[in-house]
Amino acid sequence: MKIALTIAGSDSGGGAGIQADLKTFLALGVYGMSALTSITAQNTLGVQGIYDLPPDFVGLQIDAVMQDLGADAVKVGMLSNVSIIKTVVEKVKQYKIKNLVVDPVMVAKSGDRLLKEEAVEALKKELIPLAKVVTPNLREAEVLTNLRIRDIEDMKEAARVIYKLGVENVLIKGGHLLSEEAVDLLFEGSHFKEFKTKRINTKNTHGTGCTFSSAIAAELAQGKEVEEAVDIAKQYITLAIQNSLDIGHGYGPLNHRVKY
Amino acid sequence: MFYKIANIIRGLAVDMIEQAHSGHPGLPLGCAEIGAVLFGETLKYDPSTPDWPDRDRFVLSAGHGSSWLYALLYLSGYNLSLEDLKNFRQLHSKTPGHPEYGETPGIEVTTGPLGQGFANAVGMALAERMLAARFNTSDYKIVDHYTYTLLGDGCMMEGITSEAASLAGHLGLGKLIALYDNNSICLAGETKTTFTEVVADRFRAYNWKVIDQVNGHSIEEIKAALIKAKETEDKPTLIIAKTHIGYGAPTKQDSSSSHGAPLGEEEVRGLKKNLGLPPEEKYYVSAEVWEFFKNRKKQLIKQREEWEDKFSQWAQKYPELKEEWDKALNLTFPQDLELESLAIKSPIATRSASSIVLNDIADKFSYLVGGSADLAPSTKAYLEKYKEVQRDNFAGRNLCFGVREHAMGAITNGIAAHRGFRPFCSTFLVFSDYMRPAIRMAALMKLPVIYIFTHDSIFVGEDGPTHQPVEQLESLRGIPHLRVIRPADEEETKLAWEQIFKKVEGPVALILSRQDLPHLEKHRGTEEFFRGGYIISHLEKEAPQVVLIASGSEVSLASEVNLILKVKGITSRVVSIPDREEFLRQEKKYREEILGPQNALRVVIEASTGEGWYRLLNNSSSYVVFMNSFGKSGRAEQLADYFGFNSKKIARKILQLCSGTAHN
Repeated sequence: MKIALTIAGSDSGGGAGIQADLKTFLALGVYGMSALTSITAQNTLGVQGIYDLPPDFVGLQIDAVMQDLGADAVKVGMLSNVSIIKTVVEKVKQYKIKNLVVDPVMVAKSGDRLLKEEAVEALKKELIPLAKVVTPNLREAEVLTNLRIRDIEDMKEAARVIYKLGVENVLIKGGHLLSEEAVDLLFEGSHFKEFKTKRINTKNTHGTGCTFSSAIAAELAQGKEVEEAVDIAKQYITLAIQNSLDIGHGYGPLNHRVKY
Repeated sequence: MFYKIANIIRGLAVDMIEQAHSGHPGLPLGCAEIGAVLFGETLKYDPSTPDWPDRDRFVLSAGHGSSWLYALLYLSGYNLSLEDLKNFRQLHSKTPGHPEYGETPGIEVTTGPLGQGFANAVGMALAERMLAARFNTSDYKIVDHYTYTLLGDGCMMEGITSEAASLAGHLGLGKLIALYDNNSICLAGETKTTFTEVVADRFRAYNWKVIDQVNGHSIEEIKAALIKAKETEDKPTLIIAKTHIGYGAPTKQDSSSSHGAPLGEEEVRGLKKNLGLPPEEKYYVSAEVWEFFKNRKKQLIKQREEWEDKFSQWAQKYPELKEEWDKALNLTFPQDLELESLAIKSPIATRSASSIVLNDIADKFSYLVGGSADLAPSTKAYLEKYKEVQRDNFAGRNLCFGVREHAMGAITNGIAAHRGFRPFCSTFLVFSDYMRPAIRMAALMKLPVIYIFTHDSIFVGEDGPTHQPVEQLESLRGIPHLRVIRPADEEETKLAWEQIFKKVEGPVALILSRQDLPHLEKHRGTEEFFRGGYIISHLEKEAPQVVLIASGSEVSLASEVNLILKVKGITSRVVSIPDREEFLRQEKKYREEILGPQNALRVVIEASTGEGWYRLLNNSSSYVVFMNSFGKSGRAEQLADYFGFNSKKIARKILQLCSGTAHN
């Protein structure tokens, strides 16, 4: 069985973060491992508190699993400060991780910036260049590029700018654009590929970003090329949203155990 | 002389039928004088150049009278020998049971199914007018010929004849002359038991000129009628010739027993005696009749050569027209045709995508003409920039067939057989049934007709089962030589049109959706589209466990199923088969490569009756999602769910079939 690792925060509500990642790994048939970066106190309504783990301890977790089990793909989620980013960068280099998916979590659903300026710089200059795929949403792409994104053409321009950071593939998630279809844009340096799906009308979308990037990692772990991995991840997330759970008082979580 | 020719025709025809022990002597005996006048005087043709573009066209709509026509072609000096006549109705002969296009010089179309030939003649007469409008100049009439057809009581009873006559009258096809062999006898007996209407009145109501009560055995009356027919330029003419079936046969004249069986030795001897032919001699042609046709051939050749001279002068003076003429007559494919860059926004119905392509290529193919049976706004088979063909404008390119599908099919065949155009015609797929006999004839003749059939499945929706095709797709695939292409999205629609123009081999039916379809990623390119079937999903690292096979609108459904299976950890692939019969013609190696390993589960998804797909299935494991009943009235999404064309339902079933391999 192929093995995937998530390096991300914990969501006490179980809908996002490493909880979502591990459920996704299970659903897509890979063995899942985790290295925690932060512990959050949160539920469907929002984040009540964040406790960042010491960078050394983040590194120690990665060492522990890499030296024993190894990983066919790694997904990186929330890294809340420069020190943790630098630790992760060091470990990715040390273990020569090829199938690296970076979900540059830096903006909360509420729109609040989660990362300080210097952390964004470290992400851009050090971590993203190591990734096979980086998966910003529209707001994150704006932060990474200092561009204003209003339509598909803006998305393409942003993808070009991010690509120049040195990443192999840029996937900008267009879910927040107000159009009938949710369009995600993949750019591998020469061609743009649009992934379109019909918008699903639900408020229960807590954890979609995490789930999507970990699904891509799960497929890369199984030897899929990036484009196909994204295709399958899109389908998985669509099914998970279609079956999403109306629990809690806010944005309900996805149902990772997709049913038909 | 013409009476002598008539009797020679009679003798030849009955000798052919006696030798073959089968055939139809009734018409040759009854129409011998008509044949003598047509081929001996009226028709413009050149036996040495049967494909002379400006020849008169003659169509024997009553195709069972083939021996009559072969006798005339033989006498006229076509490349048809006595040996050929003796081989009448024999395997591989040039003289098959009914006249066949491409088998015999001088045969303009295959006829036999009654009424088809008449409607073909309408198409030819229309093609003549349309070519004349394009190529004739004030100083040169390059295109100037008549279309003649001979039809019997049977043809006159068929519905297609009414449809075609109605349209010919509406269009005022003045150079169409139909001769009605009215002997009041049909196969089973006298027509008075079934057919008592006043045909002359009927045709007058259709806006035809009718010359009634012509004695079909009087050379003078026939000649006079034909001359009179040509005097009217704005109406087609029907000449109603009273004849005696089996004329000259001692006991069988005026009897249905002479219609479709050999007369017998005794009767033939009596007939020849009555006609003054040597009773014991077979295939007798008198020296003076030979001499007559030899001289006539010389004149005809001269006439054709004069036309050639005129044509060269015209070509020199109007080189652009000449260039267009060559393209049109040879259906030349423009080298610069390229549809890849033609942008079509998706999702889009393939009928709409087809319309965009059709209108784009219309400018490049001036010989492309066509229309639909009163459904242009729905099938979108309409050339927006061009005018409609009407009696006062034959330069138009859109043909308005009215609600006359059967005639539309046969008229289109006539246009194609005439040459000079690549015609298309269009209706809903479900109404292809209304024109099926004409489609079959096009296939038999390998005429390059294009059919645009839209609203191709139950996904028509609310109109319900009367308008939802279920068995039509499969039944069209059953017609030999007919290509049936059902594209899956706008890109395949473009590729299909490219194929249609690159491969001019026979008729093609393009099967198109009413509903919007998403663009499909072809992960391995489209180079192999022309092979009828190809893989569109990502390259697999391992052998696929499931192979999803679909055509048209069901390919996007198969792609959805494919992704669900992949989410579930199943290795699967999607094969799009736009042209199944073409795919089946590919070599085994290619077919196996596409259909995957023998132990993979093959799943066929098509919203049609699926009988023909068994040839693609393997014995061990397969699953077919198809229609085994008529559709229902309802919204397309509801129907999809009700009839099982739902990706989740299909995936669930596949997972059950694969259980043991599926991890969940």
